[in-house]
Amino acid sequence: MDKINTKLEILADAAKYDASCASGGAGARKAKEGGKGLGSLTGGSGICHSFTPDGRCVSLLKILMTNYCMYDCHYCINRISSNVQRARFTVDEVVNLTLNFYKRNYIEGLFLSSGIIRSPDYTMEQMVLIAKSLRLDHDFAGYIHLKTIPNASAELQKQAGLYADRLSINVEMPTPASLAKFAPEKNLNDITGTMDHLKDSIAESRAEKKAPKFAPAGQSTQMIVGADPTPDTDILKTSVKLYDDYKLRRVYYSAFSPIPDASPVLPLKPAPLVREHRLYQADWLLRFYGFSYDDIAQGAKDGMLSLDHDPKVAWALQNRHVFPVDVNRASKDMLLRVPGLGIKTVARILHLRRQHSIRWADLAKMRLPLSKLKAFITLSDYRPVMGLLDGVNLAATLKNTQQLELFSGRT
Amino acid sequence: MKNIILPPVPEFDAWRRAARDALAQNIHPSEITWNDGDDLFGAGTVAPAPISHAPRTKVPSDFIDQARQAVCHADPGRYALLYKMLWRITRENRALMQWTTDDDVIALARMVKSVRRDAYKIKAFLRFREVGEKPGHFIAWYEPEHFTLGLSLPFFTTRFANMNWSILTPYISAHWDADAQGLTLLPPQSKDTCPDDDATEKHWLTYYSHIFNPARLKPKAMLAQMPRKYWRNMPETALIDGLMTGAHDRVQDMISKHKA
Ligand code: SF4
Repeated sequence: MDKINTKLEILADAAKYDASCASGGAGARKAKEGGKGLGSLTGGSGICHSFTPDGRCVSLLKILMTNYCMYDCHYCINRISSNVQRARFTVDEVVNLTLNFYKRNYIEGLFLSSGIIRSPDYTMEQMVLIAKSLRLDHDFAGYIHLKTIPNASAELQKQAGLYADRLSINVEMPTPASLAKFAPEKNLNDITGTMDHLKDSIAESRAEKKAPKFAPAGQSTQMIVGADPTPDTDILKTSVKLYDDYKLRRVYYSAFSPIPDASPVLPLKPAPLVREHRLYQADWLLRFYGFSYDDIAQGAKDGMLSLDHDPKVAWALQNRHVFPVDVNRASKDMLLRVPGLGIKTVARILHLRRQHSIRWADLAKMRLPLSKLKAFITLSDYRPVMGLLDGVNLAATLKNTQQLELFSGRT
Repeated sequence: MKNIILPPVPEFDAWRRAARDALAQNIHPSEITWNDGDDLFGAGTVAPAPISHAPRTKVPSDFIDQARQAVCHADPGRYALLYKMLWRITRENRALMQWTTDDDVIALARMVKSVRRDAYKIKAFLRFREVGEKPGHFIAWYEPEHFTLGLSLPFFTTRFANMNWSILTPYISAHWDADAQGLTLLPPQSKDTCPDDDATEKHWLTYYSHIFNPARLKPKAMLAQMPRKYWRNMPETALIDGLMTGAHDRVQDMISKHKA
């Protein structure tokens, strides 16, 4: 029997509920020349080496060190009360698997998390050993993401940051009350306390050129959506706080999906994937499009983002008085508010309109979604017909018929 | 009519020399045909481009950058398009590249995009297999859509600098010697040179099928990033159909156990 294969089955199964597989943001790097070193970072957003039928990018070897766990988090397949099969990798097994996968160009690196065994410190220490061995014994220059264990000592987190490109600690639930209900052994203050520490260490190492690098790709977190009744607006409020207070690089949203041997506390039905998608879109608007939390909330109903309209369209429908926007004159900020214009398109428009005035045919050649745009813009040879923008039908015509899967791939 | 034959494996400099000469002789784009030579390393079949004494014409760098990528495109019309644009830039409109809705500018941008994507996908989807005693020699067979191996090689020589490896494609093969830190380009070699198995590949297949979450089927998102044309050289894609057909039952099973 191939022991490694069996462990891999169990410990990959246990890892798939973490949405992140990102391997970018740490800058460019390569192994020392002339040595035995292996690997590089390209400096971009990292490479997706494969895609699974769930639409997700496979960029990292994403596994648990072990799925034994002393805790009893209800949403988790590894909680102590679940009767899944258990396994544990040794340090060397993870190191070798990572190197062997990397040499065949399957992956960009390792994303390691773990159930908690013996104690948070013991668990974290074992994980750090893996990262340390990859870096020091093998001069491995690929990507390493470590999931920090809540309550592990500050000293161990410090060490983790020296070897890892990214550290993360999941807030899991959008409110303290839900966390208490679903993860009785965890508490929000411990989690945010750890984030706070990491934030400081990251900032220190950035500020000081000669300081050793500390988690150069920053920290991220994940929230489960739809296991508890928290509405979207409260989820986003939590995200805004996380971005502002702890300078997170990314907040991941994971629509609750059924797990084997689920706890009776969990809902029966999976959360709709489109809900998760809307949260990502809103998150994007908050970070890159100049939208405020209130803008997003305006387009929501009873705290829930529309499933029919993306959050930008939902906002536009509530603010029809600011449209139509003159594509040849409007500010960049205003163009970014137009449904159907993304960041790249807006950049192209700003470029082009310096050369000549933009007409309908130009937009067609740029392959923009004209039917979405037509109510919201004017051009040198185009104005929306009377009533289009104020019409009762506008909302209906802008419904998303096709299930957008835009943000599901590169995470 | 002037007929220009360029090397079968595109070289930007060869095109640039030929184009500069033609421009100096004031040859209109409609008066030239551009052709790919067909003998890869054969001597004498490709007329060496004359050493150019033509005055250097300053051309905007964004055109040069894009042309450098576009010559790697498999479209036989690429050289003609580039020369036509060069003509227009030098004779009609120096700011042509800024006219992003001009038909030629769009056509060039599409070529570049396709080449970039192809060069990116090599880095993503190429798979090595190991042969020989450890540390062995790593061999990959890959079929790019365009002539993009050259654009991707710096990635491989950096990332795998301390491994011996070979990348075989239908038009060229590249070999890296870790001790010498040297790269050799040779004529294409048969696909059979690449071993058809590798000890670690089994683990990769296990990983692929177990990291997939059956409760979140999104085949369209997968296909958008990994269209079927790439599948034949990626071992894990043989699992996809089975994973998809089994997904529904696995999820129903979890839900019904939960209810009980
Ligand atoms: S501590 Fe982590 S692994 Fe353990 S039950 Fe909670 S979420 Fe699962």
